[in-house]
Formats: sequence, C-alpha cells, structure tokens
Amino acid sequence: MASVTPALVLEGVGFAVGKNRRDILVNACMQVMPGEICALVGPSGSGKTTILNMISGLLRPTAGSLTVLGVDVGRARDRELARLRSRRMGIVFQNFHLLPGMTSTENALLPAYFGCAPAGEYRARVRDLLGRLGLAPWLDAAAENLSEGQRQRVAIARALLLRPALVLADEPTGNLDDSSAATILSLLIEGAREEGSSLLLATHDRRCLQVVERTFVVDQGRVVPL
Amino acid sequence: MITRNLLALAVRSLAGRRASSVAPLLSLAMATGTTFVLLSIAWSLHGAGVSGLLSRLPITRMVVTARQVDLLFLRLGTPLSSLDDRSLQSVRAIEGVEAAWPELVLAMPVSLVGDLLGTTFSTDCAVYGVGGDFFPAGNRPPGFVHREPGAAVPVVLSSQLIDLYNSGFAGSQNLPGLSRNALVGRHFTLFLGTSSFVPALPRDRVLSVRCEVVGLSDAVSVTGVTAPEAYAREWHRWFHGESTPVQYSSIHVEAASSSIVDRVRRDIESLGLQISNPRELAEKIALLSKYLSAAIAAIVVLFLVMAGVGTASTLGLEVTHQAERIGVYRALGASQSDVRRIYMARAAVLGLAGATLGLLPAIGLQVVMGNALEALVPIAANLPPSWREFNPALALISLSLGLATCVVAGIAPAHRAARLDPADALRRAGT
Repeated sequence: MASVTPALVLEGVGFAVGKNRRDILVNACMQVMPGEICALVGPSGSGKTTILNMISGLLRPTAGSLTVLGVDVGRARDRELARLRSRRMGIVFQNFHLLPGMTSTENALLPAYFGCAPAGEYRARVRDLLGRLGLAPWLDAAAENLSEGQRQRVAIARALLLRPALVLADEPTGNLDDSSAATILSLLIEGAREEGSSLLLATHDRRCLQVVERTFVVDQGRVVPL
Repeated sequence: MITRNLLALAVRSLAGRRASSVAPLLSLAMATGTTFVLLSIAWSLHGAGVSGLLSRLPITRMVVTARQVDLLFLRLGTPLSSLDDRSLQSVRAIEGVEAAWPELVLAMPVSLVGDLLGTTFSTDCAVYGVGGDFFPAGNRPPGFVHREPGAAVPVVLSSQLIDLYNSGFAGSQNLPGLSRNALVGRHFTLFLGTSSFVPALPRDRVLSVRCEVVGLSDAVSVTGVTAPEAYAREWHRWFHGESTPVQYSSIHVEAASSSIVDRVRRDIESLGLQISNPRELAEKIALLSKYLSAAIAAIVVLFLVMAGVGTASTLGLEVTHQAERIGVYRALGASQSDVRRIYMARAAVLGLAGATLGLLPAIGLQVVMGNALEALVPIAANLPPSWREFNPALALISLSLGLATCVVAGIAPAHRAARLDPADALRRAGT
C-alpha cells in the first residue's frame, strides 16, 4: 500500500521574535493528512495565528522544520511560497480582510489575480460559490455594506475559489452566535470536503471541537494533540 | 498572463482610490502640459534658424556702426556717436584695412509698393546707398549702375530676405516658396518722404521712384533696398538740402587677413565706433538660443521633478494607507515582485492618465497662444509655422517624459510596498 504524504508536517518548529529572541513557539510538532479536518485550539495570544502565518509562509520558523504540501517553508524562496499560497492554499482570516471599495464578487475573485489563468475565467465559479454560500442577492454589494456573517461567507468563498489542497481558517466563528457559528462551520467543512481539501481551524471556540476529526492544543508555546 | 492580471488589479485598485489620485494626476498633467508648451517654444527657436542664415558670412568682413547702447544681448539702437565722412576716412587710414565701403542711409520716411505672387503689397522700409565696389569681389550684381534719367533705378535686396521669407513667412501665410532669383527683374515703386508712421508730409515733399531689382546680395542690409550711392546722395539732397551732411548706417570693412582682424577691431574701437563681425553676431545669437534652450530645459526638469516628488510622496502615503490591502495580496498569493509590479503599474497608469490629461489642453493652448500672439503682434505672423503647429514628435516626447516621471516616482513606493511584512500588516489591520 502506497504511503500518503501529509499535507502539513511540523517537526520541532520554533518561532522567536525581538532582539531578546522571545519564544512564541517552542518545539511544535503536528501533522495533518490530506482531506483531514483538524483544529488548533488555545487561548487568545497562545500563538495559533503565528502557526497559521508560518504554515502559509508569511512567517518563517526560526527553528525546526515545517513542510507544507511538500514545500519546506523555512528554505523556500519568496516566489515559491507565493505560488504555494496562490495555487494550493486558501486562507480565511480572523478579521476577514475583505477589501473596501470592492464587491463581494471582486473580493472572492482576488486569489485568481495571482494564479496562472486570466482572473475573468473564474467569475462564473465565484458566482456559483457565493450562491452556494447564500450570497446570490449580494454578488455586487460592496464589502463594507455586508453584515459580519455575509463577510465571513465571502471570505470562505475566496479561500475555496482555486480548489486548494489546504484551507487555513483563523477564528472562523469568532464573534458569531451559536446558530451562525454552526452554519459557517458547516459551510467551511462542506466546502473543504467537496474540494477534497485539508482544513485546519485555529480557534478558541470549543464549539468547533465537535465537528473536527483531530485537535491540537497550543499552550505555553507548545503544541500537543488533544 | 499573470502580468495582465496584475495590471487589471492595479487599474481596479486605482479606480477605487479616485480622491487620492487627483493630486498626482493634476501635478503630472501640469508638468506634461508645461513641458509640451516649452518644448514647442524651444523647437520654434531652433526652427527660426537665424544663426544658420548668418553663419556663412566671412570672418574678415566686419561692419562698423556708430556706438550704441547695449544691454546684454540686446542692442537698444540708441546711437552714442555718428558715422560720417570723417569716420570713413579714419577707418580707411587704419593699417590692415584693405577696403572700407560706406553704406549711406536715407534719413527720411520711405514706403514701398509692389506686386508679388499676384498680390499688391505695401511696406515701410529703409533706403541705403552703396558704391559698386561695396560688394565683395566678383559679387556685384550686373546692372547695379547709375542709369539715364527716367529709367528705373537699379536696386539690390538682401538674399537673407528670401531665406526669411521661405523659412517663416511663406509657411505661415500658405504662400509658395521663392527661388533666390524670383525677385530679380521685378519692378516696384518707392515713395520717399512718406511712410505709415509719417503719413502727413505735404504732397510735394513725396518723391515717387520706380525701381528694378537687379540682384540679391548677402552684403546689403536686410531691412531695406540698396541703390547705387549716387541716387541715394541725390535723394538726400532733395529731402535735406545741400548743407546737411550725409550719414552712414554702417561702414563695411574688409581686413587684409584673418590674423589681423583682432588688431583692426581694436583700432576701429579706439575711434569710438562699434564693430561687429556677422559671424560673431551669429555666434551670439546661437549662444542666446542655447541659453534659452538651457533655461527651458531647466524649467521642464524643475516641473517634472516637482511632479515626481509630489507623485512619489502621494504613492508613498498610499502604501502606508494600503498596508492591509498589500498584506491581503501577499497572503492570497502575491510574491514581493508581484506587489512591486502592481504598484509600478499603478504609477504607470497614473502617469499615462496624467500626461494625457495635461497634453490635450496644452495642444489647444499652443494654438490659442499662437493665434492670440498674431492678433496682438502682427510681426508674429512671420515666425516659423512650428510656433503654432501641432508637432506629434514633441507631444510624444512630453507624454513619455510625464510617464517616465511617474514611473520613476513610483519605484521607491513600489519597493516599500513589496518589502512590507504581510503578517504584521494584517495583524495591525485586525487590531
């Protein structure tokens, strides 16, 4: 039986900042398999976002080895990491980061601008994705005029647009009530499953733990499986 | 393909920042418009070609005039001394002066009426009188001799008139060009004692003289007609009487060789006279033209630098304000060089828009200025047509300079945008 390459492997990863090299993360180890739905839990400020930023290549580990979809994040060049993010990874930010002055469709279409095909070719898929996420009436609405839940859905559509192999979601249910949180989680997980993507949720929301397959806890700069 | 995507993104993000784009757009528009107008003026100066017309004159040939008031390059025309027979004798006595020929000028109003290209024209002019040996060896026009009473007076015109006509007037008035001999054999009438400035002299004080152009010469004055000296003396006596001595407008001096020109100059100047060599004049005009061109270039550079600095600071400010946008671009897959290209494309689009915006009114302004100048100052009609004609090459140069300014101004902000820490930018935007 052929072995399956993990989507994500952290081996003794550390991250330190500042002149005094203050440790944010120490000897972190975890592994996520293709198509797996995982959660990274821990209190605010524990380092969950830092881990997600390292996985996406926006930060580089200061120790250990981090391999994402076969790419060594510590050693890869900027262009290689950018290509990894644009073609194989989708990110749902904690604060959505939809660009003002752009419509829902334009915001969801953004990753396509950094892909290898004309962005316009993805317009139909964006509309389909937004429609599936219940945003058909707001396709041309400006981002700043959407509710928080609607903006979250646009962010999910943006993350799933290019059928990524790995989706990272930072506090996707952050300020939502139970009903909205359940909806968003189910949309995110369904979307990832439909595309066969791995999903890693960084959250301090215990509600997420009921729907994921594996959970890692970040505490005191260390990552341990729950 | 990705370049097309990035360009589309740059244009899209620019459209969403209309307010902040207005200042650099206007400053670039002004700089490009000013550049075009100034370049057109510089091109017209170049097209006038005055220095070229004069540069073929020989260096041993000098022109002596009464001392006049000079202000830098401008000769104010106010004589400080006179040029008469005594001056002529003194000049001829200088060692190294091979020949000296006076150019007598009639101190009276004169107008000229003639036909040219089927049109009757009238103009004020000066009348000069020179001897037959005034012309450089072998260049004396045939027929330039005193004729029997009643015959047309033979006159010579400056060949520079043809050059000036062909290089400026003909084009501006849509008239055909003239060959150098087109005027030879033509007749016209001089009215001595009257001009458009002095029209009120009694009728019996106006003398009508029929003239025939017998040739063109580089040696005679460009401001009038030159007749044999005997006619000029006769007309002087008729107008002023016997007792008034004749005045010379200039004495043309031929030095024996170019090696003694400087000494001859000093000797003539010691007589209290002013001396100029046509080639020196040409050099002076060329120098003046260079100074003007340099001044224009400096103004153009100043405008472009100001526009560039303004654009750079606006784009720099935009990078600061758009940190979140840049962070999102990076997180969604833009590399550092993609971000750099997006911001360079923004600068280029901004530059192209600003330069085009400035160029269009500048082209209109050039036409309006040309027409207004001609309406206010009739002599402006004689300026080369390049003064008010649209020159696509100059428009293209101005457009390129405006665009290049904006692109150069965009380099530093684009570089800064590319080096922005995306994780930090997103974290700051989220707090």
